[in-house]
Formats: sequence, C-alpha cells, structure tokens
Amino acid sequence: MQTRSDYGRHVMNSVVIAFGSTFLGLLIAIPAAWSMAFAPTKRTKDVLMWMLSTKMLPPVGVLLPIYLMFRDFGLLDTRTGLVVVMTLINLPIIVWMLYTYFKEIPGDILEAARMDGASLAKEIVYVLTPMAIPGIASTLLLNIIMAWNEAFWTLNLTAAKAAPLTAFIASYSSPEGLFWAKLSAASTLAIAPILIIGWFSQKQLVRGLTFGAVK
Amino acid sequence: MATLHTRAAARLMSAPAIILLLCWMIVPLSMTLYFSVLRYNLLMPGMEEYIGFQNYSYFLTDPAFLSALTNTLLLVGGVIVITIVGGVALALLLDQPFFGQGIVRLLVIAPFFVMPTVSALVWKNMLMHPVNGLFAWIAKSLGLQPYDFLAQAPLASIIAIVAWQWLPFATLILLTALQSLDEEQKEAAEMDGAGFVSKFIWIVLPHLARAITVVILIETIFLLSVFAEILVTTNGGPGYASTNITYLVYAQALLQFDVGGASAGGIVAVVLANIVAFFLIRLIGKNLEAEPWHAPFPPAGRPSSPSSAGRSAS
Repeated sequence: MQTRSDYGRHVMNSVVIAFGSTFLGLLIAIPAAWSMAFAPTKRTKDVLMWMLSTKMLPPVGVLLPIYLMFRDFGLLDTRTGLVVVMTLINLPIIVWMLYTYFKEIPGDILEAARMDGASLAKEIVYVLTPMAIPGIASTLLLNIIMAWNEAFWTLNLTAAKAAPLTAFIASYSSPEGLFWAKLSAASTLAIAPILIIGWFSQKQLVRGLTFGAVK
Repeated sequence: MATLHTRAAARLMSAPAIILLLCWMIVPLSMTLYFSVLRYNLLMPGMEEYIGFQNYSYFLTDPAFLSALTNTLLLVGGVIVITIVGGVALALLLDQPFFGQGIVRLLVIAPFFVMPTVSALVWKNMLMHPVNGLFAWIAKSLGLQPYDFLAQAPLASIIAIVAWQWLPFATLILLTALQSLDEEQKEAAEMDGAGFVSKFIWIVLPHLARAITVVILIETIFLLSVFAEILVTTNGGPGYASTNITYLVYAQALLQFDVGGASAGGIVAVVLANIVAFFLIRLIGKNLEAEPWHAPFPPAGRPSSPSSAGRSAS
C-alpha cells in the first residue's frame, strides 16, 4: 500500500507541475499579451485566433510523437517533461486571458507616461504592472486549477516517479472499492486546495474558459 | 507614440510564445501525419515501411471505430443536453435572491474543480458500485435488486459522471449571462401581463442564446477528448461499449503499440475537432470585432475615447 511519504511525493509532483507550468507560462505570455494589447498590428487578431485553434487540437492527435520524443529524450515520467507539456497546452489560454485584461487598461495612462518621458521598461514596471496585477493574478489562479486537474497527459506520460495526484488517484481504480477511507482522504486532500482557489476565481473562470466570449 | 523602436520590441516580445506554440503544433502534428502512412509498430522496431492509406482504411472500417464514433457522439450530445437543460434551470434558481446563496452557489460550482480521476473514482466506488455503492444500498433498503451501472449501462453511467462534472460550467456561464439581463425589460414584460413561461421564452431564452452557443461549442471541444473518466471507470469496456475515439486511439497506441494505426486515428480525431473549432473560432472572432470593449486602442496622437474627450472639455 501507499505510505505517507509516497503520498507526499505525489503532492509535491502536483505542486511542482501546476505552479512550475503556470509561472513558466506567465513568463512567456505576459510579454506576448502586452505587445498584442498595446502595439497591435494587422495580424494580431489572426495570431490570437490561431493560438486559440491550437488549444482545440485534440491531444490524441499529438500523443504519439510527444510520447516517442519524450522516450528518446528521457523525459517520460519526469516533472520537467510534464511542466513543459502543461506550459504549452495552457499557453493559448494564458495569452488570451492576459490579452483581454490588458485591453481594459486605459491607453491614455500609458500615453501620459510616455509623454512624461518614461521608457518602455519604466512604463512596464511602474505603470502597467500595478494595473495588470489583478488580471495576472486571476490568470494565475485559473491556470493552476487547469494544470492541477489535467488528466490526459499526466496519465499518459507518467508512471510511479513523477505522477501527480491525478495519476496517483487513478491507481486506486484497480482494487475493488474497499478502500473508502484511504480513497476519501486522498481525494479530499487532492481537491481541497483547488476548491478554495476555485471559489476565489469563479468570475474569472467564466471569462477564461470562454476566451472572453461571455463576461 | 508607437515608435519603430516599440514596434520592434513588441514583435520580439510576442515571438517566444508564437514560436513555441508553432513548434508544439506543427512538429508533432506533421509527425503524426507521417506515422499515419507507415506500417510502424513499437514491438517490431526497424520494420517501418510506407503503406499509403492502409492505416486509414483499416481504422475507418474497423467495427471498433464505428462504435467509438457512435459513443463519442452520444457522449458529447448526451452531456450537452443534460448540462444545457440543467444549467438553465439551475441558473434561473441561483439568480433569485435567497438565504445562503453564496454557500449554495459554491456547492453547485464545486464539481467542476474536482479532478476528473477523483470524481470518476468516487462515482465508481462509492455511488455506482453494485455491492458497496450508495445506489446499491438505497436499492437494497427499498427491497430492489442492486444495479451494476458500469457493467450494464457503461456509456450512460459515464455520461452521467461527465454531465455531473460539466453542469457547473454551463450553470456558471449561463448565470453570468443571466445577470447581465436588463431588469427593466423584465419589468416591462411583467406590466404587460407576461407570465413566467412567456417571459422565459420571449425574453430570457433569446438573451441566453449566445451563452448557450458558447457552452455547446466549448463543451464539444473538451468532451471529444474525454479520457480519464473512461480509463478509471470501465477501461472502455465491456467490449467497446464505452470506448470513445480518444480512448480507442490511446488503446491502439500505448496498449497495442501500433503507432501507424493510432496516428491515423489521431488524425481522424483532429478532423472531427476541427469541424467544431471552425464554428467556435468564427463565433469568438465575431465577438472580438463586434464589441467596443475589444476595440484596439487608437494610435497615439489621435484623440482617444469619447469619454476622455468629454472629461477634458468639461
């Protein structure tokens, strides 16, 4: 049976994968969303639409190449591999959400800062960031929820070592349901943090999951 | 002043995201396309050869494919019907002010935050289990024969589980849309003597139309790829009774190691999803243009929004 330290390892895997992929995703997405919101080109809309379409690619369409590449690079059943995959599958949603939030920041303020001679870097640090923090925070929460609960790639790309809670709890499915207490405890601990985060971000959830189509 | 300098910087800033996503999409997808025309089994390394469209004809004429396609459509359709009908009803209820609204709303939304493997296991072992399950206990205490849901009606059981997970999503979005409904419009209708039913049909439903479309399209995208719930509860069985296309491709790939056949199946899944995605993208794209809220900021130097112009004039 699973010991306490085993459970702890799976919790750590979940935490590392969910938070790691979220921070990495934000790092890549914030500059992209910023430039699309404040310096749009003719192609910005098409780029956004295209990003969205990558999210609609069914995972089985790319399962085999990813699996084989991971096998060849030794990334199967590693946290690193899952962080990479999770970052990439959620990147379109992160860019989209940030874009819709950044769009709500009045451009006048940026103009004023520019008139006062603020450089691009100063503009970002002193003007944009404070105003963008609520949007970034809700994007962060939504993405942690999605990465924490993701159950296709985690089940297919991990075994014992790097399995996060989704995959670990799935392993309870083979013994016939006599482990109510253990299963209940593991499940409760796995969903409690997300329930709390979810409660705080339910409004943003609507916007994030509908790509801004319903607000 | 969006100078040349800023423009170049902007390009540079969006480059990493675009390049990464491009690689993520193009590289594996073209590899899948390539694999799909090969005879390629992981158990027989070095035997790869070009076989044209044999994998496709094999996959598409396989009886398993037909039942998987039927199951996929039933799963998507069933869950959508349940979540839309239930979601509209729940949203109407939650829109009324009542005591303890916050708690009730949290409870209604909660299933969406439960990870798929947990909800599938809880349903399998605690609710639907023929010996230990709650439903069996209720049936027995009523003097009825307990029913083995997952063995005798596997697909319907999975539809129930997945609908339970997605009902909160539909409710949440429909509730958000409902709250933006103009109260005066409802009051005016009431003054004209409209009852609940006619108000619902003529005012509420048309207002919800777009939100309902969004829910249908987005749920379709995600429901085409239902996987964990099937893996945990029935493993696609008995036979192929609860196998959907995603699960069929997974079984072909990682249980039978048939890379070529599974790749052909993956491409079929991509084509199916693209049909839905086409409509969804158009809907969202229209939305992006239509609303002033989304309009790009005017280039620097031009007078910006009318509100700020009004402010400076006063």
